[in-house]
Amino acid sequence: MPHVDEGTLHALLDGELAPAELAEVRLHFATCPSCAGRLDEARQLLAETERLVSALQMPGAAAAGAAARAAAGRVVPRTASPEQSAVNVLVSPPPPGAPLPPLDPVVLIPENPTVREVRHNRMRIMAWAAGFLVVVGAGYLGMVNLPRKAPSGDGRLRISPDEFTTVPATLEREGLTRDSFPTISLTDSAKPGGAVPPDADAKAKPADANLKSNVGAQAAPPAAAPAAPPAQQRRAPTPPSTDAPAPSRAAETREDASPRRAEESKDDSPQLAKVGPAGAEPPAEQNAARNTEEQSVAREAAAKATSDLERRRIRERAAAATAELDRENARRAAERERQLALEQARVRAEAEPAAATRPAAPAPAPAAAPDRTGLTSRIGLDEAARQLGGPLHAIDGLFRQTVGLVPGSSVAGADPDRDVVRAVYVERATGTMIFLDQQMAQPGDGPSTPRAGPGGRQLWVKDGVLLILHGDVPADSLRSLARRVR
Amino acid sequence: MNGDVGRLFEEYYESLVRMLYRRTGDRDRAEDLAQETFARAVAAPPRNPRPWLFAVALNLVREDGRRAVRQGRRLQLLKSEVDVPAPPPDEIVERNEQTARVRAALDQISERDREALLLKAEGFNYDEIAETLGLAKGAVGTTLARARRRLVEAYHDMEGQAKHAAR
Repeated sequence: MPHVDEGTLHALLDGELAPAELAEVRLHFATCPSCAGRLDEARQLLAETERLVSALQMPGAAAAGAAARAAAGRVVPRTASPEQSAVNVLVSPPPPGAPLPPLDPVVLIPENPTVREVRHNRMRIMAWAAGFLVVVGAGYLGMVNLPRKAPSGDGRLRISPDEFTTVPATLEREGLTRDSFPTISLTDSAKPGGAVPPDADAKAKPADANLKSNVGAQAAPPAAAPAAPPAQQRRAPTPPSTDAPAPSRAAETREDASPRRAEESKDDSPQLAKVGPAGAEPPAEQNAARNTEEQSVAREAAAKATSDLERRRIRERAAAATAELDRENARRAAERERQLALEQARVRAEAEPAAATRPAAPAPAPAAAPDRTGLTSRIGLDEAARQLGGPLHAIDGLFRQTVGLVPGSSVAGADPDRDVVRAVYVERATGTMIFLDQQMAQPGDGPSTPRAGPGGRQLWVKDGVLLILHGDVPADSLRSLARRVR
Repeated sequence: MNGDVGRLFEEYYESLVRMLYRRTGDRDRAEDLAQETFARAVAAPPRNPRPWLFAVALNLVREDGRRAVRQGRRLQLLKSEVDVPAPPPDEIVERNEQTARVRAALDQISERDREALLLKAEGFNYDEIAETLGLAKGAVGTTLARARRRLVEAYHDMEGQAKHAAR
């Protein structure tokens, strides 16, 4: 075996050699004094190392003891409160018999956000909230200030017909309605983008105010728009162009809606030309692009206004037509009813003389039945059986309509002091009524077989019950029916 | 899980702090690193705790764990430490000198040799040292032998330099 290497020597001293390897090394040491000497050197080296390393003791607290009892201390976070901790570990005291004294609970709090992290999170949340409030606030202010439009960059206040709901009295006096105004531009005569002059309100009347209808300007040929000065474009009332269908429809619609306004518009145009001071307009070359864009916007606004107007008129016409149709339908229905009533009256007038010559038809059974049955109350079969002391008797083959009580005094041959149970039979075809009166019999009430009694009625006693059969049928019919009583 | 970590704390905290102090020479830092190590053990309980704890602690030392500790994952010992009678001043001076030389000698050997020595001083066997440092078990003996020899040589060199300087 070769010499034992240094690592094996240290493993031997550290007790890390396997038994087989240990035996082999020991055998080698017995035959190799060199390796045995190296083993002694290694042993000294190991002892010296342990001495040096153990010299590194923690100061003050006697590292081992202090650290050993550090676990006995209660551990809490340095930078955060226990409420901020994410994980708390409660360490149970060591088992009895442990060398160390019983330990107090130890709390480990590993997940503590720092102050900076907490502040950062709060700032982030607040930033989101502020952004949300700004958006909501801007939307609210935009809604609140919607009717009061700020002048655009060219100093014009654009007003769409949808943005006002009432027409000033001064305009109503001139016969103008809301539909008469597609899109109106209020030009700032002072300077582009400047404030509206103080007399702008005074000039707001259609006849002499600072109002311009964009319809006229929109109707101008687009090709000429960039080259022509804006003031001239507004002054010149050009006829509707086929290149601009929407403004043309707007002009036509406006004329349809208010011919008078159409005439006034033509009349107003020269006056409008006087309003816009030439000095307030920017140079033509600078305004060319702006005018083109302006015309495009105005054209779109006019098209939208016209479209809205068209839809509104269609709805109104439809509503008017529907209302007229409803009235026509109602009138026709009333006419039909009136003719039907006249026809019925004529039929009745023709039928009455014939009916006078015919014998009176028997009244319908249901209508006459309640009056002719004489019942004071209706009872069920159970109550009838209780009254009679046995089951109710019936006529075989006939349909019983109802069962009730009648006073005994109203039935000839019955005990007047006791009620009589009456079974009512009605022949549906003729309404003929047959009564089978029944009363608990008393000794000596009658024969056991049907006998003719007063008024052709049949009277007998059966199963302890006095039976009296009578009705609107002949006596012989009553006799035959009496034989069918069960 | 919490109970397991608590048991680990009782069992290994002392050894871990001692090893970290020997490694860093800063008791506060050693305690911070030890608590950070156990904090990580709470988050991810180790299967083989002893090598895991010491490996994490040594990694924290390497990657300057003090910064991570300052960012919040720290614990504080509230209970006062055990009072130990202060040694005589001469003894303190002598001990401090020896400690300084040992620490300087330790700083002269390689990182792996130093960590192997410190782990062996904490009673780690070769298997645990190999697992903690990521070594083959067969290389641990050689590593320890080299570390011991170099540490003793470095210490003796410093001791000689100190005697020479004193003369």
